[in-house]
Amino acid sequence: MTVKRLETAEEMAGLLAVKDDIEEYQPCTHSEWVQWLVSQADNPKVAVWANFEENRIDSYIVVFDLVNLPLSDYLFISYAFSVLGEEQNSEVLQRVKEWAKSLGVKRITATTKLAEELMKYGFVKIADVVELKVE
Amino acid sequence: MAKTLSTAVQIQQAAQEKRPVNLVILELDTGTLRYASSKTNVTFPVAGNTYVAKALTYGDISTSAEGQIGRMTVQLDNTAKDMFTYAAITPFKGRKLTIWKIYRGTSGVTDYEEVFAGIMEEPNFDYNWISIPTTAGIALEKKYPERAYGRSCALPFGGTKCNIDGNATLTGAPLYVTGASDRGGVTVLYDNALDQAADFWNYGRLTCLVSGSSEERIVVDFFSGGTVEFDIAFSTNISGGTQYSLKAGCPKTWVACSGVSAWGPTADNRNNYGGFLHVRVKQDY
Repeated sequence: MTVKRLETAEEMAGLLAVKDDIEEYQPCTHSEWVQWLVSQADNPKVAVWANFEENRIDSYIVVFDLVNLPLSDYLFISYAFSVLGEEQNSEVLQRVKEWAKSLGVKRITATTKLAEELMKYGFVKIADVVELKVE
Repeated sequence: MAKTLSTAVQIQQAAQEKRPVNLVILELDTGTLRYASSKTNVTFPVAGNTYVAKALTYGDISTSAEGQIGRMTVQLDNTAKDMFTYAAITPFKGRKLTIWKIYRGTSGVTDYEEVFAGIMEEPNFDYNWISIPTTAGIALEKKYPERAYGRSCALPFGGTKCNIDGNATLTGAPLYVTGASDRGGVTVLYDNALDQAADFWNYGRLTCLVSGSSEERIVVDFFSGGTVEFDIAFSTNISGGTQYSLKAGCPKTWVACSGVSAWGPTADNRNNYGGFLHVRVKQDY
């Protein structure tokens, strides 16, 4: 089991084989999501860490660098998928924390859909969002 | 831009909706990959699928006389090596590839023209491109016809490909009979039980147990009123009581395949004709 940051389009493309539930989180299909990640491979503001068991990806997390001082000063977890236990997931989150520290960022936020899961790892709910559906 | 063109015309020429974009859709087992031959991502239709910008080229295009594309090779940019990985985790061969032409600015779900839809074959790679040979309809395993390229039908009469519709079944009546001869010679067999119309067994195949044991086959030359004649002689005379079987045949022509002859299929079998009628010949068939 190794945690690795996906650096290249080639590595990102491997996510096509992961049977995740991205379609519940984002308004796109799984393959559109992977294609988008592939197109962001050179974008330093998008980071993906994956947990590899041999060549199979068992979990991955997608984090955006939304630092734009003085307006915003945080990383944003856009999506996380895992079939692993808390110990392995904590190891991946540790990588996110290290990235945050390297950028001098003090906060990591996440999409509210992940709130319940992430609160197991020390995340705290501080606010709700409001939403208006445009029909 | 020519100076004489008015600004209005220049604006019209540069308008986004005047510019066509080709979209390529690869329907793989693990998901559908969508690419646009464009410098920026394309969303089609409005709020629909995203087609990721990718360098695309098309080659080896073969078209029919009507201009429909029968086969082509699609090349997709692989400088990021992502296509390597896709091909490593999911098969391309036998999966569908579609090319749509759209115009930027169009929005309707049906505002596209399908340029090509085919089945992918095994892709070829180099470090810059993935080349995917694609054939409309079912991909060819072989690049040549399995049968002789000629005007007359090359399929065995009554064989699997000839008898698809059951018009040339040689496993039972009326195109297959067995019996015992009344009498015969080396080039003729008589049997009153053969009461089919004249010429019915022409081009057919006669199998006899001559001398009671050795089996010999011959192609029938002429049939009429219980008399079966053939040009090439059997090794011995056909005596009375010789066991024989008769299978109908055909002369491999378009006319015979239509079922209008005494011989050949029992009905119009031209859907299964195995010749290539467009091959030009001097004589009429």
